[in-house]
Formats: sequence, structure tokens, C-alpha cells
Amino acid sequence: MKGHVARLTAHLTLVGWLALVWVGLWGSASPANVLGGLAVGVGLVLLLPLTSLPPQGNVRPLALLHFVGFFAVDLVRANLRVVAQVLRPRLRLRQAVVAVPVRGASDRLLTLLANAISLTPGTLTLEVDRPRSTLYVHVLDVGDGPEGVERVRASILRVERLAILAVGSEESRRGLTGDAGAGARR
Amino acid sequence: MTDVLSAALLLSGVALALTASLGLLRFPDVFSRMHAATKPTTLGLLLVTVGAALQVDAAGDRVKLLLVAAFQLLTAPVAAHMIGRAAYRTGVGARADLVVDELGDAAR
Repeated sequence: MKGHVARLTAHLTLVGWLALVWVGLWGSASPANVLGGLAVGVGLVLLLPLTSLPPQGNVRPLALLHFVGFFAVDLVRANLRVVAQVLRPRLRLRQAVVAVPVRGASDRLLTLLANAISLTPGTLTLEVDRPRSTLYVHVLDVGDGPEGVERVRASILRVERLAILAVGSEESRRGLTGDAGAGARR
Repeated sequence: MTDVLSAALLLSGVALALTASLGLLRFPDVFSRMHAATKPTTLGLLLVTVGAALQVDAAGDRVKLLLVAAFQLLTAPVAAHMIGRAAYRTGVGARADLVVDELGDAAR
């Protein structure tokens, strides 16, 4: 019974979001647009039902904001790095595929993290190993030597830590060591 | 003032798109080209939408630009992931050029 309620809520939220997008695309919230949006939303949810996800802990807004802020800065910096690589007179790319183990990953965490990595220039999620909770990331340029790979892995793990603080389960957050928890406590 | 700001945003967005196409020409294989072609254009598009949002008057048009940005952020990484994964699995992506390949090592 409880499952039904959760499913219904999820569906209604989705219909609401779809109606909002519809109204946004038409550009005005006239009654006809709102009704049309709701109709399209219900139709889509009935025709193309999403797989329902099991509950995965709650999202912590402040920590999510921190994640988004860090990500935005990272995005700009990484863009400039790739621009520099493109404009370099002599190309020098040391490409690599790096394994990044994600601690106690839920599907939501893996999705958020994989997308953030793929959006950041210079890193691209190639493969997701769900059973082992590992992301395989293609890196445009790891720099010189074996420590380059470790540097890239460490920087991705920094993003992972922020993502866990934002949407991770309780136990994955407890798994973070040392200073990790301090940022997210409210 | 608004005009200057939005011009700066539009121009830097366009400059990023230009570097993206340069990278597409210069980079040697599927993976490096994916990096060049997909990411700077995403940030470039964001800058262009912000620049354009400063210029349009109707709130409805701003919402449309916001939707453009949101869907770009949602879809670009999925597309990049699918192409990269397919390229790796089919061997189109040159694995020999990789300095380190921990995915290949794990599969062995």
C-alpha cells in the first residue's frame, strides 16, 4: 500500500514537471496551456512509464548547493585547460582510462557523478560497473608519469566526496573519513 | 551596460564553440575529439543563453532559454557517454594510444 502511494506521488511530480516544461515552451501560463501540459504529462507517464527507483536516502540541499558551486568553478577551469590544449602549437595528449572506485554508491549518486564527470572537459565517463561501484573515466591528458593518473583520480574523488555529502546514503557518508562530515552537518 | 555584458557573454560563448571545432579538426581520435566537441560547446551554449536572456524582454522567452540550458546539461553527458562507450567497446577508439587503460586491465 505504501509503495502505491510513493509511486503515485512520483508520477504526479513527473506530470507536474512535464506540464511546467510544456507551459515554459509555450511561453505563457494560459488555462489552455496548463490543461494541455497536464494532458501531455499524463499521456507520457502512461505511455512511457519510468522504472521506479527504490528510496535512496534524502537530498541535502546545502550540500547539493556546495556540490553545484564547486562543479561550476571546476567546469570553467577545465574548459580553459581544454582550450589551451586545442590551441597549443604542438599537440601533446597523454590519454588514459582511469578506474574510480565510488564509495557505497546508490544509482542516484552514480548517475550524478557520471554526468558531472562527462560534463567536465577533459574527463568522460566511459563505463559504469554497478556491481563493483566503479566508474571508468577517459582522461584527455593525464600529464607526465604515473603520478598523473593518481592526480586525476584524486581530483575525481574530491568531486565524489561532495556528491556523497549531497545525495549519498547515510552509511556512505559515514564511510567518509576525517574532515569529510563537517561540511554537511547542519 | 547590459549590452556590453551580453555582448561579452555571447562572444565568449562563440569563442568556445570555435575552439571546439578547432579541436575537432586537430585532435587525433574519437575520444579526444569527444572532449573537444562536447564540453566547450556546453559551456559556450550556457554563456550564449545567459547573454541572450539579458537581451530579451518577455519573461516567457527567458524561461525558454532556461529550458534550453537545462536540457543541454541533462542530455550532453548522456550522449557523450554513449558514444564514448560504444567507441571503446567496438575498438574504434584507439586503445593503443592510451597511456594507462585500467578498464582494459580490469577486463583481462
